[in-house]
This record gives sequence, structure tokens and C-alpha cells, in this order.
Amino acid sequence: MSSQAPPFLKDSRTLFVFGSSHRTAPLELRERIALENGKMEKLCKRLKETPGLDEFLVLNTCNRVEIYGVSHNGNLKTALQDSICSVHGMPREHLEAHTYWKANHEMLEHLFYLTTGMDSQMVGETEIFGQVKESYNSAQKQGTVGKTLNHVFQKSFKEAKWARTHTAISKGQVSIGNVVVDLAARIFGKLKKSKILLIGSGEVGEKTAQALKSRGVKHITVTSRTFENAHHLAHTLGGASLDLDNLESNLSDFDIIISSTASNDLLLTHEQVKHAQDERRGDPLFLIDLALPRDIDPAVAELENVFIYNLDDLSKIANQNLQTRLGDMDQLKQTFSRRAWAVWLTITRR
Amino acid sequence: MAGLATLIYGAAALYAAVSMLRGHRYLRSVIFIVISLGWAVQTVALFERGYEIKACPIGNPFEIFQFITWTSVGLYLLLVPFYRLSLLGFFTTLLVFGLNTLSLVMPGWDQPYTGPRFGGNPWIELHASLAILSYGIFGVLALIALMYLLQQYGLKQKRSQGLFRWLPSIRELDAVGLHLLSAGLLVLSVALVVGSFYWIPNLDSVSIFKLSVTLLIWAGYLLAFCFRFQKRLVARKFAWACLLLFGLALISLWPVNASRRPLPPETPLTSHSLETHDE
Repeated sequence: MSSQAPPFLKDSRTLFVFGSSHRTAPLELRERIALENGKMEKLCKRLKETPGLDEFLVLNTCNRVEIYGVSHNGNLKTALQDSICSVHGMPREHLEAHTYWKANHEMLEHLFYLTTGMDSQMVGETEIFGQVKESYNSAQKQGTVGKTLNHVFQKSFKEAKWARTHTAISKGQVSIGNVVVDLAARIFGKLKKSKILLIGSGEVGEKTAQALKSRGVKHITVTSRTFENAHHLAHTLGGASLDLDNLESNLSDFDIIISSTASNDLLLTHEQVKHAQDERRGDPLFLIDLALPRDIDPAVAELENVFIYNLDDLSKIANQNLQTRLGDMDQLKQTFSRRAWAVWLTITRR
Repeated sequence: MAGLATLIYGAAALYAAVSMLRGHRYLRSVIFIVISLGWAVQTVALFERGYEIKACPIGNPFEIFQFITWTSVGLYLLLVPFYRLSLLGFFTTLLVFGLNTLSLVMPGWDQPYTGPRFGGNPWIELHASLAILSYGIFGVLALIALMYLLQQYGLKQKRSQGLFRWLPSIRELDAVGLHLLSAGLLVLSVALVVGSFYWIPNLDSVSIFKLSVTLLIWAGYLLAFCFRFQKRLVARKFAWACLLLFGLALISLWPVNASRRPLPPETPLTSHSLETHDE
């Protein structure tokens, strides 16, 4: 399909996106072309001076640098490439093979995929929507977007919202930490008042606690065989530390317990959890056993209102969610292709 | 009109079910609007029936079921702004569609009767209306209990797809369940107190069977409330108790209705009717 404007267009303007992302560039190059420390301003200044560039918006995230624009001077690929290279002080050859240029309805398709999270590394993630919106607001303030890009971006936001409501593209979490957050929300609803105990100072446990913290959890306590490690991690998470010897007597105080130690023996036995649950008088207890070999006796699953998930359970849910998201991709691509054409025709007939 | 309302509730349930089967969460606003429409139609139907018999339309099993579902839907519409409980709309439409259909298809349930069923005594009518209102509340409580059990099952069995991911949290369901139990028990208690104004001085004209069943249902809910309050009846056991009690309450309507003794038809429609019976 041609990227050039159809012959019946009123003018020869081109709607385009030029950039480099995780799909075309290795991590090292993405690190190099990231627009940090005033480089964004420099690039914008150069773009303002680029002949034939009527409107533009620069999107800069950890996985991509993209320039969206409207030009009346045909293909500006070389000029844009030179601008990026000049800002970073790198030769054009380093970037050339890792970029893409999409024009007109293909640009629209790309933008729809992007805002919906279909072009993200983690398919369906919603953070990109906020990043695009932020870039758009910034471009609006600087006055670099006009009638066409305004229309195009507004449409893309609408499409992303539609996709999230009507498809499973953003449904379910695909990382262990976020799966735990989802499960905790199914048990406790709002997590603000939930009390978390992190046993062990392993990385997976820490990330899981971070994910819970990002959802508003305020009370995090860390315990570990090495008290210094527990204290250090508690400081990082903004929580308190607990001596492992006092674990059993304090067990009933916590709603969510994440365990990820390297211990060869069970840290929480059936009797200990039963005793804690009796003291909690029916309040639900969520246990997450991320350790191998396991830290928590799996038999606690039979206790009333006790929910235990191990690493396998969480991975299985993450994989199911990913499959669900991917399942809607083909249908969405067809829909977006149709809608991109419709938007493109609307723009060109204005 | 009652049939039309049932069809509207059925359409809402179908829309929600189809949306979920296709893997999408249904639009709550759509369900809310359709249920509101069904409720408006049902209100007109009940009003027409009440106007016809010059009393609250709770004189035969058909009317009682219609009144219970009408109350349950009304309560759902009231709850929506305060509790954002996803899927409650879907479960409400299922319950209401089921009970309404039952009341429409059961032969002999809508037997015609002449004049006010309660002898025109406004206290008895108020008692009956409040009692059935409480059954409506217990109906929604049963739905909450069912949702609780489903969420528990999903979490225990590690199911996170389909219906399970949209159910409210078990802690929210537990809290709403306790609120509804308190409200339902309060309304039923008031109903019994109001009824006692008539029963106590007129024990001869009261069906002991009906009175015993009503008191048993009330005692059941009171016990559930006390045990729940003391945290002796929690989680799944509490949910099962709520479901069981509502089932018993519904089943008891048959014998209670059958054992009803007609009140003197001449009873005047005034608040002085109690004195009339006392004489």
C-alpha cells in the first residue's frame, strides 16, 4: 500500500512519524538517543527551523524516540535523522539502519497501535497512553502542533479508550508484581490500609512489594535472617523492619505476606498460619510464596479465608493474561487499519 | 406490563452475559439505564394492580414475588451510587428475571381476589409491605453472598479469567453484606412490631403456622446477625447462611400464603381499625 497521499488530495501535505524504538534499535542505541539533559529542547529548536515542517510533536520514552509531524515538503526523513544525530553528536550511519518512517494512514495506524499499547514491549500496558498525552500537552504549550496533529492525536486517544473498553488488550496483568497487586485487590479492594510483611530481601519479593506500594500500600514491614538486610530494604521501601524471631507473634497483624527467602525449611507452618488466622477472626490473609524451595506450607490453602499463591501460580496467571491480550491483537489491527483510513480521508478532505 | 418488565430485565441480563462471554466488561451505564426502565415499567404494573384492588398488591404469590423483585431492583438502584460493586447489576437482573418468570409461568399463582386482602387494615398492610420489603433486601443480600462465594472460589482455585476478574473484592462484599443484613433485619423487625399491634389482641384470627414461620425466619436472620457481629459466623459460612435463609424465606411464602385466613371484609380503612378488632 502506498504511503503517498492519494491523488484527489487538496494539497500535498504528508502526515508522518519518524523514529527509533525497541522494535528497530538495540538497548545501547536507545540509551544513546534518549533525549535527556536539555537535548529535547535542542531537538525541538532544530525542528522548528526545519524547512517544510508545519507541525510536529516529539515523543521520548525509555523505549522510543519518535517525531510526529505534518510536512508540505514530502519526505523529511534525512533532515529529521540529521537533527537527531546532531543533537547527540553521532554519525548518521549509526542511526540510519535502526529507524522507521511511516506516512499518512500508516502513521495513523502506528499512532493508534502506540496509544493502545500494542506497540509496547509489554503488550497492552497503559503507561504509554499517559506518556503520549504528556508529550501532546507539552507540544500544545510550545505551539508546535496545529489543526492536523490536534485532530490526529485526539482521535488516537479516543481509539485507545475504545480499545481498552471493548477489547481485552489491557486486561489482566502480565508481570508477577502486578499479578499480585490484582489478586490483592480482589481480596482487599483498596490496598491503602493493608499491612504487608516481606520475608527475605530477595529481588522478586522487593519488586512485588514495590508494585503493592505503587498501588497505595502504606504499611510495609520487612524481616530477614540478616537484620541489616531487612533494615536496609525497609528503608528503601519506606517501611519498618522486624526481627525474624518475632515473626510468629506478629503474624496476625499482617494482611499480605510475601516470602522469598533461600531457606531450605518451611518458615511458616500450617499450625502457625492457623493460629494467626484464628486471631484475625475471619479477616482474609493473602500469602505469596515466591521462594524455591517453598517457605510456606502449601497445606494452609485449606484454611478458611487464607489464599496462597506460589511462583508457578502467579506465572500461570501472567501467561494467561498475556494470551488474552494477544488474542485481541489481530482483530484490533483490522479495526485500526479501517479507522486510520477513515481519519486520513477526513484530514485530506478538509 | 409485568411481562414487559421481565423481558426488559432479561434483555439486560442477556446483554451483560454476552459482553462477558466475549471477554469484555459490560457498560455499567447501559445496564443501569435498562434496569431503571424495567423498574419504571414494573412500578406502573404494580401501581395499576394496587389501584385495581385498592391496596398494596401483595395478596397472592404472583404479587408477592413481583413486589420482592421490585424492592430488590429499587434497592440495587439505590445502592449503585454508594457502592461501586461491579457485576451487581448483572446478578440482580438474573435474580429478578428468574423470580419474575417463575411468578408469571406458575399456574394459579395470580388467582384473582376481590377487595383488600388484609381486610382494609392499614397496619396489617404496612406490616406485610415492610416484611416483603425486607425480603427484597435479603434478596440483594443473597446476591452479594453468591458473589462472595464465587470470588472465594475463584481465588482458592486460582481462577483469574472471565467472571472472576470483574467480581468485587471479598472484603467489600463482606462489608456490604453486613450492611444489608442489618438493614433487612431492622425492616423485618419493624414489620413484626407493626404486625404485633394486630396479632396480640387478635390471636384467634391469626394463623399460628404463618406467625411461627415468620418468627423463625426473623430469628434465623437475627442469629446470623449476632454471630456475624461476634465474628463467629464469617466468610463462606456467613455467605452460605445468607443464601440458605433467603431460600427458606422464599419457600416459606407458599405455606404462609396458603394458611392465610381471610380478615373480616368490613374492616374500615382507617387507623382505628385495631380498636375495631379489639372489640
